[in-house]
Amino acid sequence: MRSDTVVELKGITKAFPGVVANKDIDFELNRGEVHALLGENGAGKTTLMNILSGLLRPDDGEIRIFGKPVSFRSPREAISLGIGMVHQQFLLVPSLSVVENIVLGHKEEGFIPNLRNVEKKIKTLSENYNLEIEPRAKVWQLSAGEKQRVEILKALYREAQVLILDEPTSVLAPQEAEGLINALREMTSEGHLSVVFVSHKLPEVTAVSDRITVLRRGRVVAAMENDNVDYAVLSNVMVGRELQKSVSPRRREKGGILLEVEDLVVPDDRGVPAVDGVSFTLSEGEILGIAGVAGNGQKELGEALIGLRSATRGRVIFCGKEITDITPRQAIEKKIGFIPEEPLTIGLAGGLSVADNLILDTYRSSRFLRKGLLDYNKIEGFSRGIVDTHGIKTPDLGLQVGHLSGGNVQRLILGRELSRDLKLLVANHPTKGLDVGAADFVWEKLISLGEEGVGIILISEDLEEIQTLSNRIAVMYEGELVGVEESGRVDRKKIGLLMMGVGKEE
Amino acid sequence: MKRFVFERRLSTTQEGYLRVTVLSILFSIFLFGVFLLLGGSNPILAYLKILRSAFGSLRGISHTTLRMIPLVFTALAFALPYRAGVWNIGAEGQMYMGAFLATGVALSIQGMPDSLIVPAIIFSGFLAGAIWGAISGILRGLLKVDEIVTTLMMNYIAILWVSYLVTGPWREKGGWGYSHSSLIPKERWIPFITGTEIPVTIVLGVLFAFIIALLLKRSRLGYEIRVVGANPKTAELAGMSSLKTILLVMLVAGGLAGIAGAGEIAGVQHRLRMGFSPGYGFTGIVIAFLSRGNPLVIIPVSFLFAGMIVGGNTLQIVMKLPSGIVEIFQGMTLFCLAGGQFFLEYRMKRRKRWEIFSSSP
Repeated sequence: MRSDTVVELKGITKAFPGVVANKDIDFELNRGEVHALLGENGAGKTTLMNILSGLLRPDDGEIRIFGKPVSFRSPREAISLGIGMVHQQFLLVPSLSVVENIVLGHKEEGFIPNLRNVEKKIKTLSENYNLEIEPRAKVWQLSAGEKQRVEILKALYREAQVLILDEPTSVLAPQEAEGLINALREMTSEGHLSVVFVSHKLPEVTAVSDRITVLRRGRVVAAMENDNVDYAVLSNVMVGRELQKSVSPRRREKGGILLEVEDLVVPDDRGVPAVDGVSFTLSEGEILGIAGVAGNGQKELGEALIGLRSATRGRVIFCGKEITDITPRQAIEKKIGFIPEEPLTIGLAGGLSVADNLILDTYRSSRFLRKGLLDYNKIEGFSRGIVDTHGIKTPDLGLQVGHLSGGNVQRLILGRELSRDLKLLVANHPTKGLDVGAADFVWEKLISLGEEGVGIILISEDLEEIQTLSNRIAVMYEGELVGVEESGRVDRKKIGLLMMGVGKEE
Repeated sequence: MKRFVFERRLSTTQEGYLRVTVLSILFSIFLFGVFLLLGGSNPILAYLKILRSAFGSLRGISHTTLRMIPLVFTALAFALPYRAGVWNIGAEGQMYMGAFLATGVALSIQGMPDSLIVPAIIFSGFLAGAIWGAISGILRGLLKVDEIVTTLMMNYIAILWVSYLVTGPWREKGGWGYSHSSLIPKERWIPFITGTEIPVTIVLGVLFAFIIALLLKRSRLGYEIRVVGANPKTAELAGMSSLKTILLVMLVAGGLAGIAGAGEIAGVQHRLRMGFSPGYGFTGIVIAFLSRGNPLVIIPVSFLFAGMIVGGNTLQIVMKLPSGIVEIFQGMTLFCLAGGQFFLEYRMKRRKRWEIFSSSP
């Protein structure tokens, strides 16, 4: 009997050493529905989906696909039963074409696949599901949104009937995200395809889904139809506490000029100008939001300000002194802080302990020294303070940072940067991948930092974040700042268009 | 249907590491036993011989300690750079360069107070090894040239350079054709610890192990070394200089290996010989790995490996086994250890019957 329930998870439990990632979770997916899995970082969403897609094996519980109990040994088995997962990080080979990426690893095509046939099939699929793509394009030429379409097509090509999307909008510009949501609605409308939509963003979850299941700390805390759900209620169950949603930066007495950037040109790794003649000023206590889709030079701009990258033209003046050719060490000494986009790539050392990572900016200070050696009693006292005030969840200070969850990693780096006296903070996507609760925490910290007189350059793709926090907003597109405006007068739609390079001349 | 599956472990514990290491070594002992058996020897007898000759008498322990000295130094020469993310495969060559300069100083220096000559010999060993190591350090730090390749290749340059010297310009006159230098005058030998025939360099080695352990764990410099090793980009962000750190660890590592060379020539063999080392530099890598880069653990592990060398030599003589036998055993140990690493990251799990994939409920 083929029931309408496509996927049924019953009592799924999965423990990792020290944490129970999933506890007794029930989850159902009906034919043709979009079922959102909502929850904070570390709530266990990805673990659950990794179990469903065959990457992890549950300690306990039952998985039924079309009513049959199954136990996957590998993702391949899950795929053969029609379950396809699109991971947060794309698993594509940049130098290969779309077609080649789609057949890669697909044994059914034989040793030498007939690419022409495949291409035809892909074309039909992309027309049927309204996922526009150029099959012969190389993947490196594609935008993030297009790469995601390739991933979805890859799953569909393998005849996926269940599509799992893990945080699919985290890499997309607002317009692209909207496009994805529309596409998903359309794809499921005929009832062949069912979608699990994993996210921590309330607006998109309510926009796309039929049903919502909320996870918190590895358990299901709510399951509901998506029908006039109240954001406040939903975020409440998700976070387990009232959100102070109306964080707002204020007290805008104009401080003195802190930072002046004049006609700055910064090359990227290939030597091509990534920042191309940017000028702006920043006052003390001001938060300048720089919006933009990743890859438009924001990263390079931030890195130039903290001395990781050198400018080929222009000047940077900080507190009345030129710092264009500053080194990272001088930046630390001049009280410039930095929150990197991916702390484990740069900013933290995953193999070292929490305590070792917390003293990275301050280890030269004499307060940690005793008889010329580092005094780990003092260091642990200092670290304990940061861990407590920032709510970093770690069993002990000796744990390797690489074992912490994403939210805790972000709290750790924020805690470290705020642990010293700052004048300027360059925050690059400070809440990327964070859930509402953790993001809220970061926002509050940034705002109170601004109130203390610290100038903040906030680089982000998240328009809500930019609008909520910034006193002024600029959009970066292809290395240039297009339009700097007081945040009060900003039209979100216009910013979104500017990010996409539309309406530059106005 | 597979009844066993491998699961990734999320963390490794100290006890887990110890267990895996001990089991790996036991397994290599077993494998080597099989090997001996196939070769027609009684493995139990062989192992007893090894134990007795290496650890069973004062004389044996003395021999073992003597062999341990270069191993401590070369293991440290691998372990220190390793913490900075640098693979120094060149301890053997750095040791040869140290031996070369130390011999040169010991045989030719004139007009130096006697009390300073031995320190000068040891220091010249350090200097030559340090320069040899620093060349790879500069290439890596400045030009990102792979240090594994350069340190490995420079071993051969150093070994062949010594071979050239002892078969050419430095060859002992009237030495019946042996490829070695003249004997270092007795008053220039590195003194023995009173009542033994063990040169004082053993004290130096143990001292260095403690200093490096303290340096890594408790000093700012050691902290920088660890950060550079764990994430060079993060180190750069924190204002640390990777070049400086890499150069420094390679200087010190080369120097330590150089002292091993000076100690071996001026303390044990008393003349420079072609191929004076049975591969101490490479055995040091195995030891450093086994000790997980912990300088203090290196001391006992070096002692065990030295015992293996002494015991292996006895096997050659008493049981008439070929000379490669020790290296075979070492290779097997390393092989088993490397294989054992897998179990540090994965665990094998036996599946319950119901877990095996089936289409019926």
